[in-house]
This record gives sequence, C-alpha cells and structure tokens, in this order.
Amino acid sequence: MSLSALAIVGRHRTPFYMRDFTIDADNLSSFGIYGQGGLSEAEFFGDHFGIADDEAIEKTSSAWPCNLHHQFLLQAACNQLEEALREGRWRPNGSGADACWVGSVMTSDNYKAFAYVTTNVIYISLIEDEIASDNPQVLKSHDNDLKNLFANIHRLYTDHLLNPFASPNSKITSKRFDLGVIHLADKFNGR
Amino acid sequence: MSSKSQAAQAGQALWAKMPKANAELFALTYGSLVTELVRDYEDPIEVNAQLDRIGYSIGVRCVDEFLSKADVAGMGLTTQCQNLRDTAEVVAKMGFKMFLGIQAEVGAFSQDQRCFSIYLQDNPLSTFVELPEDDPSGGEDLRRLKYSNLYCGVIRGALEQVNLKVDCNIVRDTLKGDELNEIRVELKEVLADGAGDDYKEE
Repeated sequence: MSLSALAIVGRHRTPFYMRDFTIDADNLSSFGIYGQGGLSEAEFFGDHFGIADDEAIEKTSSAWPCNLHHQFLLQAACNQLEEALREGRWRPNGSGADACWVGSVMTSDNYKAFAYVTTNVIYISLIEDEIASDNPQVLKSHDNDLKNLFANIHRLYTDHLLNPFASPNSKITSKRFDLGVIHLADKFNGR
Repeated sequence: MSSKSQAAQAGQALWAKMPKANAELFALTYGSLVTELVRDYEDPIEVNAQLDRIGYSIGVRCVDEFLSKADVAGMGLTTQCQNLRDTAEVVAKMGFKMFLGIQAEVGAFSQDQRCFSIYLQDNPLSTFVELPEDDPSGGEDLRRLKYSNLYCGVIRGALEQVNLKVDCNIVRDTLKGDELNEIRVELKEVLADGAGDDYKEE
C-alpha cells in the first residue's frame, strides 16, 4: 500500500495543498511538475486540442503539483466526506488522533481515499492498494499507520501556521512544509 | 580572561531573577509586528529602518534597568568597562542573557578595536519563521528584510545612553540560510557627557 496523493482542504472547500507522490506521475501524465516538461495527455494520445486548450490545461495543472486524475479523485472523496459529515453519519469519538480519524470515505479503481478531520481543516489521502486484504489485523495496523501519518502532517501544518508570513486561509507555499510532507510520504511508502 | 567568565556568571544570575514570558507568545507577537510593518510600508528597506527605530526606543529603556540590576550582580558602577572589548562582553554575555536568556558570543574584533561582532546561535524572535519565497507576480523582495533588525536598534539605543555612538548591522541571518546570526557593531564616536556643561554654567 502506498500513498499516492494528499489534499489539505480548509473551510468552505478551499484547498490549501494538493500533491501527489507516485514516481510514475512524473513520467507519464505530469504536466511539468517543477519544469520537468512531461508529455501532456493530449499529445500522448495523438490528439491535438489546439493551443488555447493546452495552455488552459497547463495553467490549471501547474497550479497544484498533482496530476488531474488524482485531483478528481481527491475532490470526489472530499464531496463524499462533506456529505457524510453533513448527514451526521460520523461523530468524533476517542481522543487525540483517534478522534480525528474518519477512515475510508471512497473507493475507486484500486485507490482508496481516507480522511482525517480536525477543527477547521480536512486531510484527505489517496492510498493505492496493490493487494486488498480482509485480515482484520492487517487492516487495523494499516489504519494505525495512516493515523500516525495524518497526525504528523497535522503537526507540520500547525508549525507552518505559526510562521507569521503564512496566512491561514491561503495556499501553502512553504518549502519547509512541502519537504516535510514529502519526507513523511517517503517514509510511509518505505522508500 | 576573568572578566569573560565573570560576565557570563553575572548574566546567568541576572537571568534567574528576571520574570519569564512564554517564548511562543513572544515570537508570535514579534512576528505579527513585522508582518504589519511589511503590510504598511511594503518596502523591506523601510521596514528595516522602522524595526531599528522600535529597537532604539526599547534599548534606551532597557539599559537603565540593566545597569540597576547589574549592580546587584556585581558589575556595577565601580567596575566600569575599560574598553570596547569589555563593553562587548557585557552586552553579549549579560545583556542578551538577561533579557532573552540566550548565550551570545563576541568575536571578530577589528584592528583598531572599534568594531566587533556578536554571534547568536539561536534567535528566539525567529522561531517558526520562514521568509516567503520571491513572489513571481512582482511583489516586494522580502529577502532584503532584516527580520531581527530590532536587535540592532536595541544595541544602538542602549549604548547611546552610555555615551557610545554605534552603528549596528545584521550581517548573517539564519533565516537567509546562514549557520548563525551575526550582528556587526561599529563604534562611531564616544560622546561627551552633555549634562555636565549645563550645570557648570549655573
């Protein structure tokens, strides 16, 4: 199981941070994360939608270092979570990281989306599961690992907020935060 | 040098007696002060000048408290600083220790003994701070901001009250990637005591 993508969403569905972590994202359908100049999906399939479309695609995808496929999945997961929260299907219980843990909110292809909810920020992660397992022990340890990952990301986020130059309602542009998240993701993915 | 260890010990004793405050609250307060200044003045050079002025008014007040407490710690009016080297030791080992609780080192004395540097390993003002990257949409370059310029103003204000006119500059800053913070202090002139002449007239 590996972490594919992460989204941090604030109140009113404003995204603060969206990133994906897979290696093949850089090769195949990346729209030039950090100037890698990857193939755009239009070119890959031999179609040519015109310059204006390419530019539009370029703009929206370079806004976040996360490819569109993952972005769609993250948004969909966010919708599911919002619905669940609104209908009251989930209540926080336990304490600390357990209280914030929601669990699986959406399944699609071989991706599962998990959510972690704090007072005014929602963390959504896309996990790619190569082997589905029904063993409850494995599932439980799986959940615990994810809970720890989310707790650490939450800690990084609060540290980032303490920077006086960081605004609580805007995109996270801190290099320190980004590097911290990448480091946590690499550790989680066992790389 | 005995004066060095004496200053360090006195600094330790003074720090123990001072009321303490929450470090996070302190850093956050200073942080919002700086961001407000940046919002108001926009030009980082102007913000540096403002921070220096704010530091100056803090310094002129702190020095009196320092001198009154230093008497108790054994470094009073009877043991005056004989030269700039002693002054530097007192400022770094006692002054910074007493008010901020940090260990500061002095060094890099110039040939003519008129300049020195104060080195700070960790800076309580800049906990959690990360200078924002260059704004590609053409915002001001906050790389030119001297975040801890308050210290320069404080040193300048404090030393002016004891008749030493100095110029202070931050030359190395951990926020910009250096390993430690360095403040360069240059003695401009030793002022004559002004009040004496007036009294003589009468």
